[in-house]
Amino acid sequence: MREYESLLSSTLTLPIKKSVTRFIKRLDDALARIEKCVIVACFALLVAAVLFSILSRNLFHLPSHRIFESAPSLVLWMALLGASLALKQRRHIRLELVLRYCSQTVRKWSGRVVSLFGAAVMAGLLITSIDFVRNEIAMFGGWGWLAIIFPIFFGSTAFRYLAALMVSPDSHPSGDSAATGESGR
Amino acid sequence: APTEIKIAVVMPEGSTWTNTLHDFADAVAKETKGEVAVKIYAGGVSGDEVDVLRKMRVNRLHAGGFSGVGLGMVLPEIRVLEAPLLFDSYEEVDYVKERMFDDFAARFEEKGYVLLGFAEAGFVYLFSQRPLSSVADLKQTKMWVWKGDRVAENFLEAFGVQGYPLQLADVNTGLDTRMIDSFYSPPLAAVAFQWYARVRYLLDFPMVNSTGALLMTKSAFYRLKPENREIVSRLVKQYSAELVRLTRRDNDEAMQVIQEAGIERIAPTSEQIASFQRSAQKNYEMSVPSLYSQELLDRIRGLIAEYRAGKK
Amino acid sequence: MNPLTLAILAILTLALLETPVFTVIAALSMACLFFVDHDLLALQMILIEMNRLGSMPVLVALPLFTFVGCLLTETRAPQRIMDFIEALLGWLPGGMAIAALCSCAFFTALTGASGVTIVALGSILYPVMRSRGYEEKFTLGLLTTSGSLGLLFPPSLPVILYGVIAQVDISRIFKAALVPGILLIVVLSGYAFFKQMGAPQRRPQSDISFQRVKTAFVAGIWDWPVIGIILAGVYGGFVTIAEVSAVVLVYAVVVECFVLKEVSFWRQLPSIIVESAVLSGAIIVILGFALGFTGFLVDERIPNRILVFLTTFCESKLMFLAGLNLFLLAVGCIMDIFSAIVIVVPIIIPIALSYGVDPIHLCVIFLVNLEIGYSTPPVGINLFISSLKFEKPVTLLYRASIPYLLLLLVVLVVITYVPWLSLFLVGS
Ligand code: NA
Ligand code: NA
Repeated sequence: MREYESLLSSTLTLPIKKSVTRFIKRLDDALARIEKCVIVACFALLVAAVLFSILSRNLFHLPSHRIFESAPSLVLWMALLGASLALKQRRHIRLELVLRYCSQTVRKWSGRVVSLFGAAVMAGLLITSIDFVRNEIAMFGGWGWLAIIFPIFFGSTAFRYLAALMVSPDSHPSGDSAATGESGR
Repeated sequence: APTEIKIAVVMPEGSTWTNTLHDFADAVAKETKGEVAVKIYAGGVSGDEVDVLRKMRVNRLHAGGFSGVGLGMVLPEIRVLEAPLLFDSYEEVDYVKERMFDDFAARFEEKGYVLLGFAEAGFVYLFSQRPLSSVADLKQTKMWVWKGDRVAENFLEAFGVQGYPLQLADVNTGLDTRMIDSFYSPPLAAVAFQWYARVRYLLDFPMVNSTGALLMTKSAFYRLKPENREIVSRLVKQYSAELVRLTRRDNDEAMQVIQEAGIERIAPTSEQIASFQRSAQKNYEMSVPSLYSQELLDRIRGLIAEYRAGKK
Repeated sequence: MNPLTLAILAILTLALLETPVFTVIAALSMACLFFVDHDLLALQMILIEMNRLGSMPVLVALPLFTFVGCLLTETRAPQRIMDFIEALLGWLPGGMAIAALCSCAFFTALTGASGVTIVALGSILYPVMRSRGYEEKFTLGLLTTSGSLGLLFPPSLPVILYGVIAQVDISRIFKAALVPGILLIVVLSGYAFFKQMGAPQRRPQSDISFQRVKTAFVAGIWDWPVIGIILAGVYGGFVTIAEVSAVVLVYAVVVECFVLKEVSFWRQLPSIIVESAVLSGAIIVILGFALGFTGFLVDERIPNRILVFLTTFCESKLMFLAGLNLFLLAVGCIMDIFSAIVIVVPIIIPIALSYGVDPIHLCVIFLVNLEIGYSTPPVGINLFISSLKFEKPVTLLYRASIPYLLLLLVVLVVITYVPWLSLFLVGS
C-alpha cells in the first residue's frame, strides 16, 4: 500500500493534484462564507420574530400567528447549516474508542473509508430529500420550498466528506473560547 | 402474508376511537379470513395529522383518522361542515352527512383518497376563566387557537375574539400562566386534556360541529381484492356509525363531569345570539370562495332547511 | 447472515472508526427502513421525521440559550457569578459543586432539555469550578449528569407531556416528583461534600463575611437580572420558554456590548452567532436522525414487542419493576425524552396497571429512568453534548460520569421499591 502511495505522489500527476486540491479548498471556503452569512441572517430574523411576537401580544394585544410559526423552521435552517460547518471544522460528535490505540497509517486509511462512507450516505439522502421537497411543494405550495434546506444540507455534507479526502480540516483552537478559528483573533 | 392496512390516529390507546378501531380490525380479520390485517398506530406515535398525510403519500401508512384540520389540508371545502352556527342538532348533522357522502367521496377521490366514513368530535363550546355574559366580555378574552388551524382563526376573527396560537400540549400551561384564559373545544376534549379544571365558565351555546373522517389512500384501497374492498367499505360504514354514537355518549358524559366540577353554564343573552348570528354571516362571506363555494354552502343550508321543514 | 445484519455490523464497525455519530444513525435508519420491505420510498420516513424538528417550539430555545452561553463565556460574567456563590458558600466543602448542581437542575426545569443546560451553563461553570481546584473528571461528571435532575421540577415540559398522554393530573405528578427530585439532589450534593472533604489538596475554607458577599453581589449587579427575567418570564406568564430565551439574549447583548462593553457588537457578535449555530446544529442534527430511527422503531412496533417479551419473564411486581427499569434505561439512552414519552408511555401504562403499579409512581419511575438514560454510556446524548462542548473525548466522559450514575441508580432503586416516597405527598 505505502509503496503504491509514494509512487503515486512522485509521478507527474502531482501539480494537477495540487491545483485540484486548491480548487476544492477554495470552493469549500466560499461555501462556508455563504453558510455563515445565512446563519447570521437566520439568527437575526429568529430573534426579531420572537421579540415581535412578544411585543405584539403583550403591548398591542395582537396575536401574531404566522410569524411565530416560522420560528422553528428558521431554527432548522440554522441548525443544518451549522451542522454542515461543523463537518468542515471536524467538530461532530464521534465515538473515540479505538483509533487512539492505532498507528498513524491505520488512522489515515480509516479516515478515507469513513469519508467515502459518509459521502455515500449523504448522497443517498440527497436523492431522497429531493423527492421530499417535491412532495412538500405538492402539499403546501410555496411554503413547501422551506424544505429545500434538506437537499442543501445533504449536498454540502456529501461534498465536505469528499473534500476531506483531499483537504485537511480547519484548525480549531481548543479551550473554552467561543469564537472559532476564523474569528480573527 | 395478509395485506396490511396501517391506520394512524392521534387519539390515545384506550379511547373510544381506538377501541372502536380495534373492534373494526378484528371484524376485518374475521370476515376476510385473515387476508387483510389492520394495524393501528394510536396516540400520535406517527406524528400529527400533517405527518400522517406525509407518510400516506409515500405509502408508509395507508389510512388515518383526521379532524377537520387534517381533512381541510386535503380538501379545503370539507370545512363547510364546520361553518359556525350551521347545525342545531345531531339529527341535522346526520341528515346532511348522509346526503353529502357521495359528493364528498368523489371530491376526495380526485385528490387520491378514499373517504371511508365520517366521524365527529362533537359540538364545540367556549370555556373561560372569566364570565362570558356579554358580547363585550367575549372580546376581552385571550382565546386559545390550535396552531395552524386557519379555519378556527377566521372563525374567531369574525367573532371579534383574539386567538392565541399554541400547540395542544401547551394549553394547560397557557391557562396556568394566564397566557390564555379561554379555549374552544368539545366537552370530550376539555375533559380528556384536563383543560376544564382550569376554567370557571362555559358559554352554553354550541358554536360549531367539529367534524372528522377516516381517509385511505386510493393506491392502498385498490390493492385489496374486490371482495375484500367490499368487506372493508361495509365494515367501516358500520363501525364509523357506531363511533359517532359512542362519541355523542362520551360528550354527554363529559358535560356531566364538567357540571359536577362546578363550572358555571352561562346561557347566552338574546343580544349575544343576535351578535353571533351576524358574526357567522360575516364568517361565511369570508370563507367564500377561498375555502368553499357559495353553491356548496347553499346546498348544505338547503338540506338543513329541508330537514327543518320536514320535521314540522 | 441476512443482508440487514451484515449492513448493521458494517455500520457499527465504521462507527468505531470514528464516523460522526449523525452519519452512523442516518446510515442505520436507512439500512433498517430499506431492508424491511426493500422499498426506496421507505427512506422518506427519515426526512418526514427529521422535518418534525421544524414544528417543535421548544427547539427555538436551544440555539438562543447556546448563544447566551457562548456570549457570556467571552466576558467576565461567569467569574462574577461564581465569586458571589463562593462568598456565600465558600465555607462549605463542595459548596461550589452544590451550587453548580442546583443551578443546572433549576435551568433544566425551565427548559425541559438537559442538553441545553450543559451548553448554556457548562461553559460558565466548568472554567470556574476548575479554577477553584475541582478535578477535571469530577467537574465533567457533575456537569454532564446533574442537568437532567431538573426534569422532575415544575414547569418541566416532559412532565406536562406525560400527564397529557397518560391522562394523569399534572399538578399531582409535580407534587409526587418533588421528594424523589430533592432526594436525587441531596445524594449528589452529599457526594460532592464528602469528595471535597477527603480531597488531599483541599483549599482552606474561608469564613463567611457579609462585606465580601456584598462586594461580590454589587460587582455582578448587571448579571442578576438574567435570573430575574427567566423567573418572571416563565412564572409571570408573559412569554413561553423560547421567548424567555430571546429576552435574555437581548438583555445580555445590550449589557455586554453597550453597558459593560466587554464584547464588540460588530467585530465579535457574528462569530459568536456562527459558533452557537455550529454547537446547536451538531446536537440538533443527531436529534433529527434519532427521530428518523424512532420512526422505524414505531413502524415495526419494536417497543411493543420488547415489552411483551418482558412480561412473559416477570411473574411478580418486583420482577416487573426491575425489568421495566432496565428497559427504560435502554430507552433513555437511545431516544430523546419527548419521543420516548409519546411512544413508550401508552405501551407501559396498561401493563404496569395489570401488575398493580400506581400510575403516579410509574410516572416518577419513568422520568427518573430517562434522566439517568441521558448520561448512560455508550450512547446517552448528554455524554456527546458534553464531549462537544468541553472538547474532551467521549471515553473520558464515560469514566467521569460513572460515580454519579452509580449514585443515581441507587436512588432509582430506592424510588422504585419505596413507592411511599413518591406517593405520600399526593396521598394515594
Ligand atoms: Na414516529
Ligand atoms: Na435520551
